[in-house]
Amino acid sequence: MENAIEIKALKKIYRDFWNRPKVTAVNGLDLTVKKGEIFGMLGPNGSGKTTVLKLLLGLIFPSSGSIKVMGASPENIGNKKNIGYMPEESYLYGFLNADEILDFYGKLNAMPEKIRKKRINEVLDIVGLSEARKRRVADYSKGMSRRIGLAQVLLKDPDLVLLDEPTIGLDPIGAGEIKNIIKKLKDRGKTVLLSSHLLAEVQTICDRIAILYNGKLVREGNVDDLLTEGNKTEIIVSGLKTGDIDKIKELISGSGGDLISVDHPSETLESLFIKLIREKSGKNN
Amino acid sequence: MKKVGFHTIYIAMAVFLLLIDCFLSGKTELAQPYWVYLKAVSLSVLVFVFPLFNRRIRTIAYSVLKEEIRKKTLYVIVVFIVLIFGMIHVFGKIAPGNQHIFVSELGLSAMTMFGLLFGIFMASTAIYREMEKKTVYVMLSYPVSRQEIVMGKFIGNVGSVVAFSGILSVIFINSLLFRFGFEKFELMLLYSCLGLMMEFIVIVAIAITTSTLLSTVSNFIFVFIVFILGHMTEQIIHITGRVEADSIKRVGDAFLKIIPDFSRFEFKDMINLGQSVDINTLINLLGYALLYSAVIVSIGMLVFRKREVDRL
Repeated sequence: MENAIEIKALKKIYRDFWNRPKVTAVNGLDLTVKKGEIFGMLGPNGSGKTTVLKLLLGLIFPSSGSIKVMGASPENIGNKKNIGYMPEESYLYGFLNADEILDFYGKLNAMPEKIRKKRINEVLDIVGLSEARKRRVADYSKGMSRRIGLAQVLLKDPDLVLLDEPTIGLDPIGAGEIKNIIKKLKDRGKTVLLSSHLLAEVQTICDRIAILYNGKLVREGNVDDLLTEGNKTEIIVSGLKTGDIDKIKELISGSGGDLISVDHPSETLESLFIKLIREKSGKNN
Repeated sequence: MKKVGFHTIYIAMAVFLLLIDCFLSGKTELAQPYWVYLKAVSLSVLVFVFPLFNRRIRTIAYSVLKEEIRKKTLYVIVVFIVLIFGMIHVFGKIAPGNQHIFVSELGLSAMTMFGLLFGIFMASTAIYREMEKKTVYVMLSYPVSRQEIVMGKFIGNVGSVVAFSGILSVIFINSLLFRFGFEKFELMLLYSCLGLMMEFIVIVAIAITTSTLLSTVSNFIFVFIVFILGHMTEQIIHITGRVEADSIKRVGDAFLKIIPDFSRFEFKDMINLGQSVDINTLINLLGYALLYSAVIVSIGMLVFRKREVDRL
């Protein structure tokens, strides 16, 4: 499989006015994102995630090392037709409405007028902003701003999507919808690189992850491989009586196993919230 | 083979025309008058027509115009109308005989002030605010070069300032015609308005270029200082002429070559003295304004090319 992103020995040092090194934001990073996968970049604040995204987009330039995005340098202008970027906050022009903002970006992406108009309708529908399309973006709520930020990415229909904290500022329903959109992108063969510090979000949607700390790669790999504890076993059973549980405990201790806990599984607060809201609004999915 | 970018052609043309202009500047032979026309025409094409063939530049420029229209520009125009009519009413009474000259001079000063503030406020935030608000992050994720962003902003801002000063000129001239009639109308008034528009184009070019580096406040102060120095060129020539040290003279001469000569664009004193300019002077002035702007914007494009947009 070809790689969508190849980063080799990447270093980014921010310098002060006198050109003295001030901060090393990325320090010798090697990273590969394969085509067609959802890749999560995890790390605490200041770990270098956003800096990596800026380097991938050519917003800033590496101090050393090399970057290839869809087989070309980040400074390759033509290649950017294939790259979509949703920043951490939706940095968009407040004086324009949703229609105008998407038309503006569609024109920058050299989309013919007919296709542009059709795509704008489609993506506004996908992100649920069709009814607010004539409202100025400055008057949007944070959640709506995030949606329009995602809409400009979907408008391009790029092969590589870079998402910086995609669900920040969204309620659980909105966050769930964004996750569904990300999954659909993968189903259509798109590559997604998302940066987040929300671990649960990354775990549920990513194929592979990289954990960054202080600008360095701490761990990289398949989510299942990294999280599976091979020496432990979880059995989930329904309709069991108290006496049966004691028998199972005896069986485990008899076979030399070490019983860690017997518990009733609980729902996550997020899934409970989504379930309740959907019941109230009459939506099932 | 690598495609030659729009900006490469633009910068090469600007440098080429600057070199020819430098070569011909000291000469008063036959070539000079023809060059004045050729310079004005070729630079008009380079500055206004050539960039508009680029769809992305057109898109960015149009969005700048849209933003300016949606701002409270209309209120500024209303304030100007009130000011002009107020001046005509008050000064029309206290300066009998020469009211039209007195009011013309004051009106042109008001236009300079309004146009200058409008131009500096608008252009000095053009690029820096894109970085500050991070809107440039999304824009640069599209197939748009940094040079196209600078050029789009320049064209959009020039369009806005020309439209704005054009509206002020129409209001100003019409209010004078309304008050004093056609018999007192002088063509110099129209020339003065055109001269101011050219001055504003140069100011916008400087403000756009420095906005790739300086914050909004620093840029505003910087451009304002350049504006003042640009109006003091005659005084600077006078001072350097009296200095005996060669090194200081050379520094003064170099300074005069860098600083735009804004005093050339203002004809207020000439109106006062009853003097007039011919169309050739105006065309020469247009050539000067456009050449200066083209070179300055070329520098802006080169600076922004390697600017790290997250470092403010």
